Amino acid sequence: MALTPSRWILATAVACAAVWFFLFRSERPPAKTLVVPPTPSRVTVAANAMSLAADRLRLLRIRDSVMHEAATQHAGSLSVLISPSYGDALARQIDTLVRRRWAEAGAPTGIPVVIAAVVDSSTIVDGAPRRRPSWTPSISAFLPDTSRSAACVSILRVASIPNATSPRTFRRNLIAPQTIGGLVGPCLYYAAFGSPGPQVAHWLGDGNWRAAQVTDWHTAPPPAAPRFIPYTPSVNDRGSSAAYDARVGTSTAGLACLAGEQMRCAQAVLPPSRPNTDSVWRQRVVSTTGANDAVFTLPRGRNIIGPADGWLLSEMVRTLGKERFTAFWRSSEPVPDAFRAASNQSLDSWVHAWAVRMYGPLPIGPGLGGLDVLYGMLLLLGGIGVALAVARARRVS
Amino acid sequence: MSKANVRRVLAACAIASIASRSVRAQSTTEYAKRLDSLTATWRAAVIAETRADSERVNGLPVDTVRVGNLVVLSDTEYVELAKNTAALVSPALDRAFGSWASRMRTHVLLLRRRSGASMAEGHPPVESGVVGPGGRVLLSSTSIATADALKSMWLRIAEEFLSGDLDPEIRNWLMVTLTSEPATARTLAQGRVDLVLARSRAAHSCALGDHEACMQALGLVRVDDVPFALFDETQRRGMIEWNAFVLQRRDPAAYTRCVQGGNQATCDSLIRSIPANAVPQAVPAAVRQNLIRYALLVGGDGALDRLANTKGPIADRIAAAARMPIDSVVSRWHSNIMSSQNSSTAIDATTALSSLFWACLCGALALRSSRWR
Repeated sequence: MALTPSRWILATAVACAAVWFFLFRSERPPAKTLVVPPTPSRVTVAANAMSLAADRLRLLRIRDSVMHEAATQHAGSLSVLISPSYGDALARQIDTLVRRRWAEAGAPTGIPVVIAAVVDSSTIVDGAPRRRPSWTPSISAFLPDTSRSAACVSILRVASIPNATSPRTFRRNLIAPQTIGGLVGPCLYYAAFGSPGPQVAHWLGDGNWRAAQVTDWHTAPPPAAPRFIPYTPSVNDRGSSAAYDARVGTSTAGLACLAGEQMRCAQAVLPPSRPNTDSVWRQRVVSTTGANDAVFTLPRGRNIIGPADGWLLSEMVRTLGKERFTAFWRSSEPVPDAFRAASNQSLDSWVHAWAVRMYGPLPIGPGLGGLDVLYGMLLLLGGIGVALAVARARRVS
Repeated sequence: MSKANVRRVLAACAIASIASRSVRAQSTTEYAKRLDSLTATWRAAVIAETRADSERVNGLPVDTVRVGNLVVLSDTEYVELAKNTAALVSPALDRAFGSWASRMRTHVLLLRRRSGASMAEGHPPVESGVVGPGGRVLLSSTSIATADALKSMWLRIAEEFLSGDLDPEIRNWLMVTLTSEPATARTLAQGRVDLVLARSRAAHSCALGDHEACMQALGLVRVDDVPFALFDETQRRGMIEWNAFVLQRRDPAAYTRCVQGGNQATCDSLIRSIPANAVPQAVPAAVRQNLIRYALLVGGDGALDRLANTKGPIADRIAAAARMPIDSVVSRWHSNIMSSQNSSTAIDATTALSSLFWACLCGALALRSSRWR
């Protein structure tokens, strides 16, 4: 019986039906179930709010105490106050690192600045409990009140000093450049460039001053070029191929910026301001954690403009120069207008150039590498060769 | 007065002035009031919650079904369904967990109509879970009202709770929940794939037959410096680059010196800044679970109880469960998985035969094709 196309189709249909009947039909699909995630109760919500208020009350009392101490010391434009509880060696180390960072930035004297490191072990504030992570530093910078000539106060709090029971990494976290940078950062910008214009201040406040985490405007940042790493962190996750790559840690808007889409860079760094019930506090107090171990195990999110976003403001200072950056910083115009007026270029094009410098250019659209094209051509030629050989063998002589 | 002294006095005045007054939303007085108010709100919420707990407990179904080690609070209309499902689940738990399954008596299951949900596949949806403190339902889920649908959910709940009843030392070592699926030669052979593909030097040595490496990779003996003892240089470099998003932000200069400059001392320092709980395990949890399943299999009756109740390091507990010294357990487990007849878990004999059959059939049909004649 000759196999005509219609018989081929019939045979294929029968084979598919047999596969479906014998392989799939016998297995019942698993019953669908819906797991209901727990919602936080009113007690939990109220307890969290109470704990946060207790922590802030405690912080405000520490701030008042620190400022009183600084006032009595008459230490000049920069006061560094380290609690004796830190011990001589660690206190000296923190003091040296803070002062060195300050000196590297030109030892600005624009406003009085108080940098303090305290041990804050209390767990009850005015009868209310508060949660304090044991080994995570907490940094709070009280920005000066723009309407009055006031000081900028930055406070590093830890629940306990490094001791025999603390993780081996705790001490080095306290003196890590990230911690010192977070402690000095916002106040250093104020001291070096004065109070920002209201629009710039609002922009930074909305992003919790994330763009200003780095204050090293004398050196170019190390490139965070995309790289492929054939490694997964946990041998449990063999299926995951996620490796460190700037693109992995960048939001969709940031990727569009990297790809060179017009205006997407400005949109990425200027997200629309969202109303926040906590905005009054957040506009005046910058809270960060510094270097800590918890981040190693947290889910890895995407930053708006990639993992190097903390360098944004520092790079503006370096590339524009202090004079032009100060003009941008103090301008009362909206951020894009202020940037253009100060630098003669759009914020969008500057951010794009910065992103390409940090992460390298992002290939756009489908494409093939040179080696891939070569393999493809070889495969094609091989196929043609085989076809020719078969055709020659079947030729009727 | 010198310029420096003038600046100091001005700074002191500025600091003193701000300390003496309150700033909007940053004053201690305001926050003290806010804290008082929130404390009152929290107390009111606690009272309301206690009342709600009481109402929830009163609202639980009143019919109790007991089958084997399972206790189910059920709506009257679902009593039969609860009995049928429990009759399927209880023997499976007994087979998998032995007498440890009796702990399910302390975790009361719940089965009731899901209010407000629409019909699914011709069955009314039901809510099931475990009755927790204050009448809350833990691991709550919604499914259709059939024994088959509920069985898998109840087995999963039981696995969670029976694993959760183990003490933290075992749970931290195991890192996954125990499964109720019976251990078979095929499931045990999967351990070889997991071991061979694990990305650590110790795991590779273990797969090649190094007993001490197996003990270290499985976490059965204390290892002081895990990254340096169990991983090679390339694997440690991988750890650094994987954690780049933290390490680069923490100390950009050190990261660059290591990754781009290749400075070994800096790389070693960066490795030591990764906390112990962020250093990857030398073998995946599946390998450890595989060893436990093997130990429970050879240990026979009461193996899980012995594992749970024996005091001491994890190695001693596994030895007690298997009723043989830990060295013997690991050696036998290793030879079992490495010499299993199931040479690959990816393709078994049925799949291979089926593939051959279809290939031959297609070949035979192709040879009969009119276009080739």
